[in-house]
Amino acid sequence: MPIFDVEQQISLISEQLNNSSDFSSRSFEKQTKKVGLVFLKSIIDQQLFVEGVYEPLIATKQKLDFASISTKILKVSGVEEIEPSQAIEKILQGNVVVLMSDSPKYIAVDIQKYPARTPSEPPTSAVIQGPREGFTEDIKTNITLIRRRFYTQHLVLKEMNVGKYSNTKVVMAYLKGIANDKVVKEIEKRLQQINIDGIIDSYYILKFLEKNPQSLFKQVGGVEKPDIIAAKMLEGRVAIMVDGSPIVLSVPFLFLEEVQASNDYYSSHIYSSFIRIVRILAILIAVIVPGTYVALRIFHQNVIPIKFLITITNTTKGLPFTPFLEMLFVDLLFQILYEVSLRLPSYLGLATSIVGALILGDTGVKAGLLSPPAVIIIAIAKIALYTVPEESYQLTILQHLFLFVGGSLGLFGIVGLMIYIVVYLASIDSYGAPYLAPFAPRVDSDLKDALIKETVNNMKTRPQSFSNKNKTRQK
Amino acid sequence: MNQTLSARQTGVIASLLLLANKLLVLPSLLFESSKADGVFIVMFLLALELGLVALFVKLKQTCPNQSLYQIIQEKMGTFFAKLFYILLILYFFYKIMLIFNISYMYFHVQVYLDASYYIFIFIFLLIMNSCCLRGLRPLARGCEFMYIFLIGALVFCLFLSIANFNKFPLFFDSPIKNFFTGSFKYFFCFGDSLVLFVLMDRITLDKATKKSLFCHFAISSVIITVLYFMFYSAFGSTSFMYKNAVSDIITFSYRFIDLGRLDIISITTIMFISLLQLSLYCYALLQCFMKVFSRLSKTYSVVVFDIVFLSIVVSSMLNYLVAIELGKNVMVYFAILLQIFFPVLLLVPFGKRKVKK
Repeated sequence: MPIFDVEQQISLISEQLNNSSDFSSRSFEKQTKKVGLVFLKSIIDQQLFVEGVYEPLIATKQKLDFASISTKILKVSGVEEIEPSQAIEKILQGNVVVLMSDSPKYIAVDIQKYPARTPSEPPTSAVIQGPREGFTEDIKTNITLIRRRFYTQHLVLKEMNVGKYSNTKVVMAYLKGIANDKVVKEIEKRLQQINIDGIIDSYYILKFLEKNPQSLFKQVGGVEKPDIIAAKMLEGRVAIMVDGSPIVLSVPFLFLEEVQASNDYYSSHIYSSFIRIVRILAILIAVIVPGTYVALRIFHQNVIPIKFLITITNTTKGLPFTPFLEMLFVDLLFQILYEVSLRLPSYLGLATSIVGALILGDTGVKAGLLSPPAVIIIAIAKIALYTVPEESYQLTILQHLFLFVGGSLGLFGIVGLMIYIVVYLASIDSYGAPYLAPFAPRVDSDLKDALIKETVNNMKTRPQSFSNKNKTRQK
Repeated sequence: MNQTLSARQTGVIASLLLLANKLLVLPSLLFESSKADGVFIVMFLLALELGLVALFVKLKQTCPNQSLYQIIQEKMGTFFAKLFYILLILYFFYKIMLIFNISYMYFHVQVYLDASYYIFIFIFLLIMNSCCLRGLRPLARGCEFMYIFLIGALVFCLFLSIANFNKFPLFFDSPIKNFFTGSFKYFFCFGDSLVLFVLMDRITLDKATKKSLFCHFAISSVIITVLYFMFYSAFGSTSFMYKNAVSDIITFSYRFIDLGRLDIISITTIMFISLLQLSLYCYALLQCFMKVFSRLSKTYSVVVFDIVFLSIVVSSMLNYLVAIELGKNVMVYFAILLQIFFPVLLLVPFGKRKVKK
């Protein structure tokens, strides 16, 4: 006996979806009952729909009920029985909803498919040796990439939808028995408390997970490669994936992670240690050198070695700018070139670089607007900045802060700002982990993977800088 | 909020405080007082300082969970507790003024020939205030983070000073009386471990803390002693003319290495050390201030401190010479009272008073 009119229900659902142009439905009669299929054709796998859902339903001679449809008739796996009230949500998630005139419940078949790119090497985390695959915008692919690294029942994936309109799928991943339950609960609570209209990228989530979102320094890690996130999960961290974003977040996050790169783990530990020290030096050069140069020129000429001072004096003779303004001018030129090269197509970007680097720099010096030392200092600082490309934004801000302080207060101002930044960083706490650990507070066991890196067989414990269960990694 | 310091952080704080105002003008002043025997004076005063640390350890063992204020309150009553803390405020304030003026003089002579006095006041106050408001733990972690670089830089300076090594200082060239008068007059330059007493409820005393405390104390003591030795050996009878010991001992090293002015290493190191010391002193002072004037919040206490500091600095134009004279004539008695008399008195077991809660 029919208990409702399928056609009427279909038109009701269509109305609820505002008669959207990609809304589609099929209906047919089978075994004295009316069967309807509703879906959004833009987000389903059309081939799978025809071969796995539509054709089997038309061709079947078996009894049409949930049990036989889910186990015998359909050639797809994600089948569940739902309440009519859930229909819209399921359709929006890429399900085909099956309505039968004699059943009060609907059946949802998950055949979601978005256009997605294949996992490729992310541009900011390239390696010479080691895995090259990177996360994509498709959360299912990302889950697969993590799952294939953990063939264990200890891998826990918790899914939730965030965003009033975007209803974005967010998945928390961690290893049970390693990750700290308190941290997991805290993250889950924070995710559930998010009340926003939409989540476009993981960066939106990141700001809700940070304890001090106004801070210049990020307190949540962003990773583009599954091997890195797997290693972090093995240390007891929690990964957060957001549908539509190739950046997977990880917490807790330490300052040290800024200078660690995946390549370090796939090459000699001696070389890795050396390159980490180089990275730290590069960060210092990027941040401090322009400000220090300006401070020396304005306040402390007597400290500059005499030969260099003569060179500077000769090259800066007749310049229209003060040292501070000159440095700002060169820096501004670079920033403009950087923005242009980011936004222009690559063939034009190359031309802009040539114009910027060779013509503007060289002509600027010859025209008496800039001095060669200022151009060189900014060039060195900017090159150094990109040894840690993920942090280039915050380092750029710091670079300008130091430049300003160096120009107005001199060397003492630079030292003061350094102390302030260190004390500020020392006050940051990322889910119970001191931001400057393992240096302050010093955690001796974690220094094995800090600046000087030990071989894998010598790292017998998980990081002690933040709380995790099961400290032993190997015996 | 009552987060304790780690063993290492306690040691680092003690070590950094010990270096306060001993690396610049003091070697020259001690030479004026008792020639090269200044090395022995500094060793003697370091031994007394070690005694103060030992007193701190003993007091902490006796009353492991109490603050200094609570201990005095229990033993002598609230009036004496407040009185002692007022004396500490004055002493710490003087120490801040002393370090500030000595550092200012040093930076002014070395690298800031044309800079205004107010630039220094601005930077010092800004850093002291912000560090104090962040709290003890971030400050201690900051010290811990930078400690190895600072000590490394000082050791490097001492290493460079080998180039200036002239001959062994002429010891025992001054009457023994000068040794005692020198020790007495410059006693006020020591006693930096009093800060530990104020922070005692934030320190957990275990074996590791004791070890760290004495190890870090030893590191600073060795650096100070070697510096005095190298200074007197480099400049001999003209040592009294050189007021910036840590820079002066490497003044001529560049002739051997040809890298320009190498004293920039010592200058930057002293900048770091003095700012950290002042922040630690300022934090201790504010803790005392908040105990005496318990209604004032931390932010208001900082504002009051700034106003008083600025009023004194701007109105009196106190320079390091005046500050040292003040130390020799007045603060030395404060120092004796606070560094010897009071800690010993606190360890004397006499009847506990009932404290009104």
